[in-house]
Amino acid sequence: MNNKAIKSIYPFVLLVALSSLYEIIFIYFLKSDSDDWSMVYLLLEFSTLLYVFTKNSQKFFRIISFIFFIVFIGFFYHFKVIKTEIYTLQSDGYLSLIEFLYVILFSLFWFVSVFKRTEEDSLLKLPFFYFIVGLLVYFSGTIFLFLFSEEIIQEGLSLYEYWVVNLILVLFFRILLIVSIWKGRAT
Amino acid sequence: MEGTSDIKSVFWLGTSVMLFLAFALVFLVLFYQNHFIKMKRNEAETLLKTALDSEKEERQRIAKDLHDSVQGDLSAIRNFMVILEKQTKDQPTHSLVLETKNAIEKAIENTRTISSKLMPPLLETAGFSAALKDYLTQLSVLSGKEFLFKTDLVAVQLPATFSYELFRVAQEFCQNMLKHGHITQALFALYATTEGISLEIIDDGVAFDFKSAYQQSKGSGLHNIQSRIKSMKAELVQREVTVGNHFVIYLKLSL
Repeated sequence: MNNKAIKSIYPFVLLVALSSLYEIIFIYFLKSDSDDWSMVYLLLEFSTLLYVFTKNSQKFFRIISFIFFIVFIGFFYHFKVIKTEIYTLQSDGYLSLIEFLYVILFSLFWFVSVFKRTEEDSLLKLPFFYFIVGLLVYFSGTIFLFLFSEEIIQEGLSLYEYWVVNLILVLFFRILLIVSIWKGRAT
Repeated sequence: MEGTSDIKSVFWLGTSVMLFLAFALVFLVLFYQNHFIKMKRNEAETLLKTALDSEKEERQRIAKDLHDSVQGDLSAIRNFMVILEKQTKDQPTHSLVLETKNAIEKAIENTRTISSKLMPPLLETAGFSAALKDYLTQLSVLSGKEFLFKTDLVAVQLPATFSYELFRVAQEFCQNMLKHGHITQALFALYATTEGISLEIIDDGVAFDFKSAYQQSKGSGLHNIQSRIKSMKAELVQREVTVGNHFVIYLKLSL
């Protein structure tokens, strides 16, 4: 079970690795437009999370995942294709909110499913637990940042001051990702 | 200006609350699971103790029944056969009577052995050391292998529950040595330690790793050992040796 769970996060890990590389080369050095990238990244991030969650859940949660998929795609289409006049940061915030709710819901379902199983192993021994904690903390800590990004800019505040929250939580999440993969390989 | 301050406040308050809730959820889940595991372990320990106690009681009952009933009846039949043997001394059926009497004597001996194996009488009357020494002496005779016993606890008596469980553990080890170990010699050494007692079990047979053998084993021998060790809250340590096996059982006791 552990092995299967850890393998399912590989696409997400690959996305994280590729996005880091892309952001350094194209956005930091070549100064490409980050709006298009953030749009693609959000879509890919949601897809990989959808993959992880459906691979590690029961039929009931797969139905919920399908509903979230429809809602996410619907909003994505609305913001990125129909209502293109909406600011990117604002639309990204709404899409992040859907992702956040999806992550919270899956985490709760996963915790409940762990308690239902009769295994006596501590959660700290499960590699997937670190992934879930990382996701939960990252999405909980950044949801206000993503929702208020546009407002922060509109009010003339420096977004970089607030973006530090994202940087710290990204670091925290990636450390937990490493722990998760490392523990997964060890078992 | 007021809007800026509002956004700042909402942002920092919201982010802090969300982070607090996320961490609280994680810690709550960890705490609850820890509590849940402890509860399950306690339940398993109680079940194990009940199972071992019932097994002990059942063994005691069967041993007593065999000794008092079957063995008594067989002894009575043997007495009749002795009389019959005398009466048929010069008759052609005499050899048949003699054979029957011998078979009955063998049955009495077997019943006594089974009864003794089920619940060694010495364990209750003379204690663990005497019972184990007696058992190993008998086993040496029966198996042709050398089973030695050493102790510095002659005057000390172990509590009855521990004596029984420790005796069964020693018995299981002996059975394993004979069945799988192909040993020629084994030593059981019982010593006092600062925290209680230790029973060292050393043999020159086929070496094996207890942990991995226990995980792979489908039989009940190693599982019995582990269950009894657990029920005594003792510790089983395997020491590295070049030949054979060396185990030490540490039992916490106030002697």
